[in-house]
Amino acid sequence: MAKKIRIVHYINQFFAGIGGEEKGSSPLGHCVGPKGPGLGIVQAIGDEAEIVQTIWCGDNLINQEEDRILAEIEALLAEAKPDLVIAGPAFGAGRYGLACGMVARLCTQKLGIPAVIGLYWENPAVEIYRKDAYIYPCAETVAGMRKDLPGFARLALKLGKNGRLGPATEDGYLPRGFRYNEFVEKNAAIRSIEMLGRRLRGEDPMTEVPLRGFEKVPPAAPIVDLKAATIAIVTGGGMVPRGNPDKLKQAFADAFGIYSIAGLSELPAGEFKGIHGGFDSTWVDEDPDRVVPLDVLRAMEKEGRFKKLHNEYFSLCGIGTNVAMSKKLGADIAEELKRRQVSAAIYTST
Amino acid sequence: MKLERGYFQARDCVFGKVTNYDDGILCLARESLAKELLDLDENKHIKTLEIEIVKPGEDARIVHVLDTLQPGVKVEGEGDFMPGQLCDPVIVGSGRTHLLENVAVMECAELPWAGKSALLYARDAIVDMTGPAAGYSPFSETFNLVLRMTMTEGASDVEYDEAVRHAGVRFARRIGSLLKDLKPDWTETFDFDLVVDPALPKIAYVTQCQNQGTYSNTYLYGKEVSNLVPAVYSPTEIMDGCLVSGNYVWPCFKIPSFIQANLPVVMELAREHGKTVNFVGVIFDRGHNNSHFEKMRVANLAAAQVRRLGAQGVVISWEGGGNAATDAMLTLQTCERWGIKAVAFTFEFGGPDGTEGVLLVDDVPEAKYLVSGGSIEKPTTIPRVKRVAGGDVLRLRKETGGEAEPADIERTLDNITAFYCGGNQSGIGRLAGVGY
Repeated sequence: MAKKIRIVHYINQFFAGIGGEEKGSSPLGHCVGPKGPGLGIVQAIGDEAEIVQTIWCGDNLINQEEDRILAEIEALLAEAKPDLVIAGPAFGAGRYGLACGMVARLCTQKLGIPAVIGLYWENPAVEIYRKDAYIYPCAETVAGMRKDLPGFARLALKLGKNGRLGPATEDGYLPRGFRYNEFVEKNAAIRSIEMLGRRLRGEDPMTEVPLRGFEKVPPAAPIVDLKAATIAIVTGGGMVPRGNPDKLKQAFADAFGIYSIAGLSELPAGEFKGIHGGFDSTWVDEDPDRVVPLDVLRAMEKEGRFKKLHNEYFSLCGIGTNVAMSKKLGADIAEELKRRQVSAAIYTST
Repeated sequence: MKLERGYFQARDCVFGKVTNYDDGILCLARESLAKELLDLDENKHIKTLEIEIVKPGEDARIVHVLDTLQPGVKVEGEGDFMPGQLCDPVIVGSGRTHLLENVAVMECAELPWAGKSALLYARDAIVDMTGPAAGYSPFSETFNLVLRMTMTEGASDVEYDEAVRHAGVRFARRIGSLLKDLKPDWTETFDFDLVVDPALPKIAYVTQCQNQGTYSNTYLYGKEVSNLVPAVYSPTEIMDGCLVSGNYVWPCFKIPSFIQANLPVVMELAREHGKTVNFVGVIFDRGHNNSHFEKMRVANLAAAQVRRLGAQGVVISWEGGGNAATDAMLTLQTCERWGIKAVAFTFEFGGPDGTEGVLLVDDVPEAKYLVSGGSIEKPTTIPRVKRVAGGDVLRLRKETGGEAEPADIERTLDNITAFYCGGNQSGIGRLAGVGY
């Protein structure tokens, strides 16, 4: 007979039978075998796996003394040598949910032990720990225990057996935020037509690209005294000195360049080149001021419309760069501008 | 319109003394076919041309891929297959057309890079016939007749573009002509004259092409479509090749002529027409419009066509990157605001593990139903291969020098932009982004 999968189960003081809120500071405890909800889980799992140990702790204590308690749990796990750690279900309970997440993170990130926790999808711990563990979506309250345990146990057993799980929609856990390319059964055209067909029949099919949400970028506060302002030019239009000295990419930017315009009243054609991979650069090569408007800004500087034009411009190719990288590059550019005591920037895009 | 398509499934492609198609074997007289093409005045900017055959499953890589075309011939009905290409721009889509289903003509050449615009130059496009990248391109599953060309010096971009396309069109037509009097392996009839059950849901398809200048254009009845006004076409016109591609800029984001004539949404809806759906028409328009004003204008005009057809639902897709996504999203938004249910499919971002930032470049709140064509931000390692066709080298990263490197070696590419059709924008690929 195959070796049984060894599971350690983490629960809180309430499910260990010690007491509710008032016992939230009760110390870490453990016993051999299942306890509380573990008894139901064992039934659902059958004989392919066993809960070898149950660990519990007061919710307040583990949240207040995370490092110390986790170190003690680590020591217990080192002895129990589980193949898998499960925690909860914690349903909608905030502190218990966080405790389950902490234990799961310890297991997956530090000890390399796979972990499954059970949480209600709106439990605050979901957002914090979704990347660290597989989260089985439970009911909001303990009233759902009987209904949730078989699914929770099935997910745990599958993870214990395979070491990994399939796609979130197939195996029924909350998506962890990871997305990978796969070759699926039907091509994208057929799947689109099927999705449309379901909509036309009044159904509400699940989108394959999760809803993105919209972020509003608040406009910066206006400059109080333009005459005292130092202004810099930042462009996403990919204008660089001839030869592209920083080897900036023509798309999928991962860096930006900072180039001197000291002593120049305009960007001379031939000395600067457009490398942006998303538009025909013929016209900006002919006159680079079309994307880095140095000529106009120098004239305004001369007129005293503002104090000074910063003697460098910042450049990258704004195309194909994902939002996370765009935010990082934007923050880095802003940091550099602040360090140079620039008070405002003009961003030209294409 | 009513079109019958007769399909031929080749069992093999070989070189031989005479050019013919017999019992599923396509035989090519290699030297004389190449000479036929080179002798044509229209091909005077092609210096050398060699025909190569690359087969499915071969340990081979094809490089410098430009357009790919389907060998086909009109047997009955007006016009030629690929109307307006070296023939009159006559409305097609009726009668009978014969097609080689699994043989593709592939134009391959190193078009000049020096002095080219940062967008408008032919990037190196890769088709791997086996290995981890094979699934990115439908042409890993076809017999590929590679026209390996070198070009004369000093011609203009327009002349180079025309030269490679004309060679491809001529050759595809030459091979297609072999099928004219033969009996197809199977046929399909698409009858849009039928009166369909009024209870069937009316569905339209909006396909938005790329057209940003020479080397990124799409040809409609023989002319590029810079100033295109969105209009309705019969699915059978599309099947008869009224759209031909001259788009060589971003390899993952192009829809070659072969696929344009077999757009999977068109084919699928046409097959279901009169059975489960009423396929009311194809709206063809152009993305990458220059300003928000122009994008709004085209989106509204395209959506107006969808509404005029009385469609209750619409599938929307586009060719090209983030710029084009904006035009398509505005089209989707307009349709949804008018109560027309829209589903679009798209490539996505997200970085190597899918966690980096939002997944799309542009978006509208109405885009609640999207199918994933896979992420383009996945590093891909391609192995050493035995054989390279189309050329010997790979030219990557023009903006940092673009030195030619050997094409046969193992290498890892940061993302999938160099893989021909890897962005899955026609929906032909089974690639999808899957959440974990």
